[in-house]
Amino acid sequence: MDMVIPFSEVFLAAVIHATLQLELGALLLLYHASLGKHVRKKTRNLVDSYIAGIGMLVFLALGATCFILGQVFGTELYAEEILIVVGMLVALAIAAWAFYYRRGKSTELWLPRTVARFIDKRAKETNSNTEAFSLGVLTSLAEMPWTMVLFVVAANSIIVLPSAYQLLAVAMYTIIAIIPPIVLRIAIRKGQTVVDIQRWRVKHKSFMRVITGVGFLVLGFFIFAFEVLG
Amino acid sequence: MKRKKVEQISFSEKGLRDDVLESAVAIGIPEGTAGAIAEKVAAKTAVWVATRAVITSDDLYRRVAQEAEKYSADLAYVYQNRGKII
Repeated sequence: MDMVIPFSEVFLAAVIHATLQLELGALLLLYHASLGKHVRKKTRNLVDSYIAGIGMLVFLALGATCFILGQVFGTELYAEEILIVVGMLVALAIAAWAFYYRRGKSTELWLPRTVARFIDKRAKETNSNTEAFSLGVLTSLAEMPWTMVLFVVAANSIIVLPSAYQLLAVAMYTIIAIIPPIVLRIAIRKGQTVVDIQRWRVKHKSFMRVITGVGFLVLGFFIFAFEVLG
Repeated sequence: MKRKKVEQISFSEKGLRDDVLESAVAIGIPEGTAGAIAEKVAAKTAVWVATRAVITSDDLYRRVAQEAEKYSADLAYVYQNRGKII
């Protein structure tokens, strides 16, 4: 039971991370640009590098957050600090409902248009594995306003685990966070096109918005119940 | 307040043809067919562009989508969604 709650919090935070859409959107752009220019094998390599870039940044960012929490706070967060985190999760839930997606029949996100255009341009100009890796890192960084709190929640749970399990928990978070790009890669390998996937994303946009918002709320309640009241 | 600088680019039929070709190939249209579609869409769009002094990139994508719709709904969808993925 000692490890069930921390692992559940890490799992829940990672699932919410996986519902965010920027990394998936940029991957679609990369896929579309690359399939038009390169042979499939090259595209697959670029996509693998892109996913590796995301995974690397998530892994390092979560590891760094664990380290900072351990070094600065010495131990897990106090109840008052957890309450601030819960407040931020509720705020993110409201923000996800209100403006994670822009209005209209598209999957345009909250990003400033200049940043979105830059990522779009980089995806089109990506020709080498290094560039694809960097694009993965860049999109993960751009998603940070939403993922930073998730990292803090996960890190706060990870540092109470026995050290042998800490690396496992960080790896679990990273793997769950990169599942959507991996699923997309498999879907395209199985014959789906970028258009099929984008149509699906547009059709289920409201559902994804609700899932993300509810996810932040549920995580907030979960850590409130087990870390503050528990 | 500083006025936003607008980037101006001139229309190139060849550039559009290459772009349509890449988009068509990316969604799985065979290269030969994609080439023929790209040729026709770019030519028709060039005629339309010639009648206008200034157009925005959104105007251009809408027009390309309109022309592409005649050959492939998926290709038209690509241009309808240009810049709207993220």
